[in-house]
Amino acid sequence: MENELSGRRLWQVAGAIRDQLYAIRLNRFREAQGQVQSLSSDLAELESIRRRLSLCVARGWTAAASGLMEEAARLFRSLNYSSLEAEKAIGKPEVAIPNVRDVLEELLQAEEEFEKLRYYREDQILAIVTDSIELEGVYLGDFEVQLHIRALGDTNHRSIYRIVALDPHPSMRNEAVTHPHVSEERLCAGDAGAAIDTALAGGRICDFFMLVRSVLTNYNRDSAYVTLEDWDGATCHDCGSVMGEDDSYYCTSCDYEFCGECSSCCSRCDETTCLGCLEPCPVCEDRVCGGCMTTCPECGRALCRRCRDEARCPCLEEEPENEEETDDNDSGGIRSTTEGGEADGAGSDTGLDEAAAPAGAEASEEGAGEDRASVHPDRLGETALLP
Amino acid sequence: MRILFINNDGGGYADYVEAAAGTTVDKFFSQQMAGGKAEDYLIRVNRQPVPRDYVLQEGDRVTITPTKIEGAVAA
Repeated sequence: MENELSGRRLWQVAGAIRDQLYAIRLNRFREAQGQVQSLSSDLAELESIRRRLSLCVARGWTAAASGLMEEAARLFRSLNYSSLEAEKAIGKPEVAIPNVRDVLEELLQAEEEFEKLRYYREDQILAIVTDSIELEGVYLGDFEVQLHIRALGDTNHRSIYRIVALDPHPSMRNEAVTHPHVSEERLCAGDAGAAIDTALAGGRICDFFMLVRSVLTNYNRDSAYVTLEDWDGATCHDCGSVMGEDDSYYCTSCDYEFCGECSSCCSRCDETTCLGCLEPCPVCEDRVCGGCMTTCPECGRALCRRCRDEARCPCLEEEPENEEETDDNDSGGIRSTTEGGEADGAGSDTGLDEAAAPAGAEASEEGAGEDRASVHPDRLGETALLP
Repeated sequence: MRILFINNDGGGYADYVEAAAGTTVDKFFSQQMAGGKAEDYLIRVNRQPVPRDYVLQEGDRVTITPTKIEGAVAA
């Protein structure tokens, strides 16, 4: 239930905030206590090593002393770290807890700065509403900055305040992003983070609201959940249709975004790739991305990596057949010369056996009788010299 | 004279600083925020907006809050 703050209620809220500031302060001491405890444990361990080392030296136990030295070396490294952490925790600047009147003045100032303060009593939420925000021509609407008083003492700062869009104009790409720097009602305060924490710890409620407003009314393109350029959804690089975040696909080959209809994935590496960047492998005809295309090391023909790895290039399939043919020709020829050795050169072709016939037939078709000597002229010559 | 200066820029801090008598808000800003442009900040004295030539008084509370802060995405 929303309530406007006035009179007695203002005092009550100021008192509730002040109580929580004590919790923030106590958390700071708790953190320091934990770090000092860690350092103290390390020091106790060091004392134990010292005693044992003294004993080893007194009794001449060199092996045991050597082990203790290694233990001490490890402990010194740990001591160094815990000492620095303890110093850091203790050295945090002291933030004075304001009195209730100071907090009340903060609330009154916030009322003047933001025209109206809202208070949700049941949940103890103090809130202001920003003016309508428009960044670089993109209308985002007005936002309620909610400070959860009960959560002020939490160590998890993310739960302390929320940014609620009252007239939401979320990004088409992600409905949880209502502002370039707000996602799921959480503000990533960026450069204002430390100043916001300091303001809250000091009970400077109005400064807190002003700092949050300063972040909401500015835009950091380089670090936005969704850039304003893409706020209304990116357009498909191919067909130009507007896409939501769930409908857009990033092509890893050309680095553009495409809609579902204009993109697919590589049959080899499964990377999302636009249709334009996929090409069919000439061997297996699968569509693959440029990264999965390569060339045959033998003939230089383009083919996919799998076809190359599995030696499926046609040039590799043809080679064994050619070699076979050459072998057959050779053996057939030799056989013809040796088996037909007793005959003279003119009658040698009639000496081909049946096994050598196909190759011999091919040769005889090409040679057509009068060209018989061209099959194996040298060998035929040799044969003629045989006794 | 002593002025309570609350600087909400950077890490943010609140501390007392010394200022010469007759120091205006404009001069105080240039002394404390070297290089900064006054138009990029909200300046309040004793929680109220004041003109640039307002002469600071002993014990005044001056708050300087940047209006241009870059947000980010969560790490």
